[in-house]
Amino acid sequence: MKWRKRARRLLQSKRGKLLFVLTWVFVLFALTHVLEYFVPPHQQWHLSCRADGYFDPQQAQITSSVVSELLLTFTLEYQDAALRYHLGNESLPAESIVLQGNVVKVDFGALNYALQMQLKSKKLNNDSMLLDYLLNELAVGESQLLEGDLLPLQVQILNANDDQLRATLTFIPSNSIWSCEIIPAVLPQPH
Amino acid sequence: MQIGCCWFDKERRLLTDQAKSTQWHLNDHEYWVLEQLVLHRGQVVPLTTLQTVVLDSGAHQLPHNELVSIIYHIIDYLCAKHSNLVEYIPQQGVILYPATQGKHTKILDLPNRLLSWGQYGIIIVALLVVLLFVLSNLNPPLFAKADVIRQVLTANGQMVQLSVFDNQSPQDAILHADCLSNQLQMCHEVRWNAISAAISTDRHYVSFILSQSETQSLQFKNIKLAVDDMHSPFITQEWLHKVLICG
Repeated sequence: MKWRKRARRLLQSKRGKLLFVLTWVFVLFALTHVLEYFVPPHQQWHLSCRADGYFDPQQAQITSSVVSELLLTFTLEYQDAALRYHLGNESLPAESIVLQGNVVKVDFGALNYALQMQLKSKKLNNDSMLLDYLLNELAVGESQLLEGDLLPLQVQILNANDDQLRATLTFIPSNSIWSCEIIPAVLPQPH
Repeated sequence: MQIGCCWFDKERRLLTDQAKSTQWHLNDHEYWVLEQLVLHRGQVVPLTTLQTVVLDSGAHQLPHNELVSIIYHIIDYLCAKHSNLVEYIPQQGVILYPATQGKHTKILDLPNRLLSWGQYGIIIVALLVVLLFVLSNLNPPLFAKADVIRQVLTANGQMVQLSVFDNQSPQDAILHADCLSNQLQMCHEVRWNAISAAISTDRHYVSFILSQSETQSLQFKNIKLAVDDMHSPFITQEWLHKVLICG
């Protein structure tokens, strides 16, 4: 009973009230910090994206340009990231580029991932449309990409809608956006 | 003697507000009430004591409502600046506090006046630190807001939401938003009810996301377009038909 009385007296004093408020601020501070560790980090993404590409450079023939199918698979599993591009159309052999790398930094507030990617494999035509497109999307130089340099890259995953079926993938700083299908991370493996 | 901002002259039965340079000549009853309060400063003077007016000529009772009106008059006169100097407790009595208590500014002038400026400052600083900490962890999404947003009404009365993202040049964003919305208006039928366009930083590509929400499901389509000259409009009716935006 004695300590209870003493506590009450402390709470009623000026210093006690100040201590009380500061303690609460500190508790909230610590709580948010702890929560951040316990919230399951959304560190697994499997995004499948498909686009119609109109990559003929002649602007005059914009209406007669060939439509290509551009596919992007974005995979992020904890520390590993991969980008697989595939471009195909009727008139030219298919092209593809695979980039692999790891996650450098994650910003959960905005689902912003800083990656460091490296060219793993490529299959490109002369005058590659895919290569031109990727230099824009990844904001890198041709020699950097093809010589297998480490490419810093930042992507943001937005608007994952309520049913977790689609998300918008944004490349920073190139401002390229994709609407992608979210593939559930754990798929039952057929035997 | 001094009461709040007034000087109480007992000889001349005069209450002088120095700040406003006003004077109040107290009559017998008013003087009696104030004198009782001053004599028992810091204590509650019961209403019964105040009601029993003792003058040189003899004692008599003061009607209750007259007493109350005198009390309120005194409170009004004394308390313009010094709130809570005189407190009237209904059915009980009146107290004239020994010292003015409202020296602090208004924000600290709460019933218990617990915080000093320093303590108040510590709390503000602590809250700011917490806010900064939270903000540093929650970056606003870069793409949350489009640079240009248009609502386009097509020929057959369909509404299309058009958003253009351009982190380089607002003029280009407006140019292409205008161009696209003009062309969309001419479409007979638009297959999508939301169109987002992002102009690439290197000015050579435009990414489109088309979406159509139907009762059951959402449909999406991406279009990537290479553009030679981003500073001139490139979207035509033929193109909109070719990429199946208009149908």
